[in-house]
Amino acid sequence: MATSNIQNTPQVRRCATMDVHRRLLNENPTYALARDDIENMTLRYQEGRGMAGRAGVTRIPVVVHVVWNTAAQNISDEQIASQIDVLNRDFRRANPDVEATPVPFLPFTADARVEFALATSDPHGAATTGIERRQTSVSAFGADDEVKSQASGGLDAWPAASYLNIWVCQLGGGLLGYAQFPGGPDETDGVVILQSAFGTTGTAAPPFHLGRTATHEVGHWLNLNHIWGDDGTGCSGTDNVDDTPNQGGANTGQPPFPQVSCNNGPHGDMFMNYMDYVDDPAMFMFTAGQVTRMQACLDGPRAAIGTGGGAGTLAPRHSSSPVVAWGANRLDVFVLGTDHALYHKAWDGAAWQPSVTGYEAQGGICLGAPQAVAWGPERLDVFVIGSDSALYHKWWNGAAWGPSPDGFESLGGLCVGDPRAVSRAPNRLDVFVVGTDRALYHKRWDGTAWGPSLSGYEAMGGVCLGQPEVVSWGENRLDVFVIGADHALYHKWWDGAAWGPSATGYERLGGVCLCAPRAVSWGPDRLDVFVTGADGALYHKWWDGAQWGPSIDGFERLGGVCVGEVEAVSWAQNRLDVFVIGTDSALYHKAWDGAAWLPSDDGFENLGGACTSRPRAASWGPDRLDVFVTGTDGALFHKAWDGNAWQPAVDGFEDLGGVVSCF
Amino acid sequence: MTQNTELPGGSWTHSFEEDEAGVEVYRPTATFAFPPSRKGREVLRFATQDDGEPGVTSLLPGPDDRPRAAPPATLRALGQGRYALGAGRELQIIEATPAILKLVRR
Repeated sequence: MATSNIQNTPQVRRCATMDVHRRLLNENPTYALARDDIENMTLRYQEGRGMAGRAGVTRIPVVVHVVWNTAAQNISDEQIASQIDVLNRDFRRANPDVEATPVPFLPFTADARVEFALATSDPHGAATTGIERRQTSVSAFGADDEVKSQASGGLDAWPAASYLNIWVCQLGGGLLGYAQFPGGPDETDGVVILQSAFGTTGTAAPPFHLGRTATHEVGHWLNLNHIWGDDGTGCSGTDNVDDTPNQGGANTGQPPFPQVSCNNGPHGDMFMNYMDYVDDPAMFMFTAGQVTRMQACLDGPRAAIGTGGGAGTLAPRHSSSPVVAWGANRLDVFVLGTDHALYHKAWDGAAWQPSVTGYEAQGGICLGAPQAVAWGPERLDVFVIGSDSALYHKWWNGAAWGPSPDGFESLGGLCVGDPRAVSRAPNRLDVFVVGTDRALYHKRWDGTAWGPSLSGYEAMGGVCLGQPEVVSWGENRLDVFVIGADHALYHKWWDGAAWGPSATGYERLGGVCLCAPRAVSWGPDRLDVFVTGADGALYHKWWDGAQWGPSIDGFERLGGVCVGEVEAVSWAQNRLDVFVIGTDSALYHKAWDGAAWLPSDDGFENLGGACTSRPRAASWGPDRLDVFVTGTDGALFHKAWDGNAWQPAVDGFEDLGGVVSCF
Repeated sequence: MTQNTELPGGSWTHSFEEDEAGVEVYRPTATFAFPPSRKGREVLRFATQDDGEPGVTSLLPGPDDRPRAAPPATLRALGQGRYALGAGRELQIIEATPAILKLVRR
């Protein structure tokens, strides 16, 4: 709610919040100062000063701590999933009831561009369901944070920088839930929700059975204030948002439209806003001004969350490669030997296994480079094309290789060139191959079976030159790139429901491309694609969540004369590292640091070597790069950026032995 | 029958569903099963203050939906269950038993 004089300068709005700040200052000076900084930063953001903002959609990893006393309070996984679904609808303006917004307020409704997913990786990097449970002797908790500590009968918070903590428990006094604004202590960061007001099924009970308590509390967690301004029933409080009407006190129940207060007729209070106190069926919208405030929070005090940092839970998943890192300080490398069998070696954090120059033989007779992905710690899925041109698969489940140490699962097909695979979620695999008709084909693992069948493929149309590329920036998102017969770049995507632009159609993105595309994503709804052009130079284009840059069919020229394929990785939001081989067979590198290309727009860093393969790179942590090539003697060579310097030297490589026929 | 109108102790939570005309009904915070309420419930904590005078603290939902305490107010007995609450405000106990507290605020 704005103050009654909507046109006033922001300083007036600031003044109205000072009472709250003064009260907090008395209670907790550190918290009050942090809150003050956040309000100042939010104000700058709302005025459009000096803030970049996040592109696209932010996906936030969630941990749900179920703290139960009676068995009925130990809510089901389904009830938890129903709550996550509600959050994903409400914060994307995808809730059907938004259409019930009264006509005068409908233009103000907005997509908050925030999504939520149960965490897949815990604070120690181990696989998790994102749900933890505990029985407690506390029959009902209060609003005193005791549910947030193991010692007081609850469960400890997970790191606030990486997770949204949601505690679900029995609350006393009829309390539905409470939140903590950004800027408070990490140990108590998150929201607490009454078990019978959580989700839409199980114990959820009317009129709080549509999951809106969590929507309201997460609104606070993203720095939204109550729409009436927290001044009792007065007309002088503000919610620090300009596009909500000035409002007296809270509305309750399911009031008819309009509800006039504070001379705000004829349309009255925006009581259907999630930040009022009406029943679940009566609240269904955020405004654009509230979205700006939430995005300011994600740009400021909650800048780390949902970026794939910290536990690396929801980092976008890139295309398969012979080199994969499933965890910090871990690398797995797959090559073909001169006998065209598959060979494997791994860095375990301390040493190369089975030895610096040794390899584990894995059988098979393979055509083309092996393609590996990891959908979780200690999990590897490797795809190769066999001598019969069929697709083959083997996997490491943490204990053993399947189907056997030197065996493969046959997945059918008649494939040309290397396959490409991606995992968009734990235990999900999508594999793309080019058929003998040069069309694209797709198959998927849904956690229990291969679709459309063990040996079958879904036809995806097109006439492809070279290999496809696929990247996933979200659990239900795939972006596929191919080079068409006209050497232009083409794109298609899976949005969770359908293929765009159609099942067999493609979006034309222009260019004259001489190599297969390489795509990376450093965040939700963000794509960066690299190709080499007819002049041998490196070219780049990007999707920023709204449009293709520099244009739908245009590319940014990044210089160089490149031989063969391009490699690109990202180890942080708005960070890109690109590797190419030059005409002198040396390895070259350039990087985008969030503001500029290094060493220059068209320049490259020479990393030496006499390379006989394309470069393959992986990053297992922030400011860490590992790059692999084969040398003139056929051996595999490795170099690494450790955050300070290239190891073993700027132009030096570590010899990892072997005689590699394909990498 | 004469109702007990002595000042209660402890924490009482507004059971607004039971309110009668002009009369607010409170139930023991710790033991009564209150239905969930989004607007929250006012809590009154009655206690003897450091100066030996009876006092009451009111808690209402704050900006983060947690109950937030206002500064304690001293209760000055006026007789017949009536108490002065600062300047010009009055609290009258209508009924006080271990299970229910009914009061009128003016």
